[in-house]
Amino acid sequence: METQPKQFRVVFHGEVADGHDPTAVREKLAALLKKDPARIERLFSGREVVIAARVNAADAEKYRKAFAAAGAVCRIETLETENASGKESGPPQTPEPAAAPLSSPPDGGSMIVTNIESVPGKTIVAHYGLVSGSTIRAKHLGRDIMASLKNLVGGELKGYTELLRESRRQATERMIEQARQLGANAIINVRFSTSSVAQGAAELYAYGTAVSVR
Amino acid sequence: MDLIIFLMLLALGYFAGTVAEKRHYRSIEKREKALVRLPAVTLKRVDIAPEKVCAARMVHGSAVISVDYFKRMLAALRNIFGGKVKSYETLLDRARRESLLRMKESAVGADIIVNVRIETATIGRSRRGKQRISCLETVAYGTALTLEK
Repeated sequence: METQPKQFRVVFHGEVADGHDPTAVREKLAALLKKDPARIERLFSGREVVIAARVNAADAEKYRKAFAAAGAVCRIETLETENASGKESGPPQTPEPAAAPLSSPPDGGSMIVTNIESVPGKTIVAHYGLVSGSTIRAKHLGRDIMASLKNLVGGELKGYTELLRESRRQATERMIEQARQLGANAIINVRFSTSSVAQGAAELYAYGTAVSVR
Repeated sequence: MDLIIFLMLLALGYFAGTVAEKRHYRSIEKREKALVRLPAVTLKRVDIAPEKVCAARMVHGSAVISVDYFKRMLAALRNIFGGKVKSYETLLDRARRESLLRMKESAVGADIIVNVRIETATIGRSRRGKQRISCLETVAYGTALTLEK
């Protein structure tokens, strides 16, 4: 409500400004957006295409000017925010799904990680074998001193908990990365193990079976 | 002089350790009550039709915990006579329950956690001859299933 900047999206319906040759507009747009002609042709399919999903007013205006210079007409729509002061008659929920295909899928979100022997509701179509990720972390001196003080009193060592959680996350990420390179989309039967390899250093190891599920 | 320091450490360990332990147990019990609706089981399969499960993801929680000076002395004494080391029992119990709770807390929106495993590992191994810093890590991990309503 207060300082939250309004967000806009720029959409294009394939309209060409009066007095412009459609093919010339296409060429100009191709040069402007640095896209190949096939992609540009998609813009002119007549369907609503989101050019920019979430931009501020100045950027939206820039897009509009650039398109106008090329001879194309695009519209700026206000995105509905929480206070729901939708001045434009744009449907409130469409911005999200419309913008989604343009952005790349979130990394890691596509990988299913479980520690049971299957992915419930899905069938395994291919096995890729064992994948694993490990990381060895040493605690740093400041934490070590704090820990030895804490050792007198007992109780939880927050610094170490944080450190180990962070390293376990990294080990998991490495495992996921390995599975992704194999072309898997899920890792099943994941196990964690911790061992202390040297004085003050711990190894965090995560391993599982990479599979492809459908 | 050495004896005074030793006794002071012992007293500090005893009082601070007891207070910390009580407070920790209180917080554990409170949170366990709050999370009692989210069951965590060690079974791999539960009686849920697979098509009802709409999401499965791994969750984990961990805690690193150390013993206080007094308890360590107590345990050292126990080592001479053998028997149950009660002071360590509560420590491990606290650590496990804490990590279980953290796992449950990280499974927001899930309905059940299956195949829960709890592991314990010693980290910070002793330097030879020096007093050992005994801290333990417990990890609890499982698969959180979200069911269709």
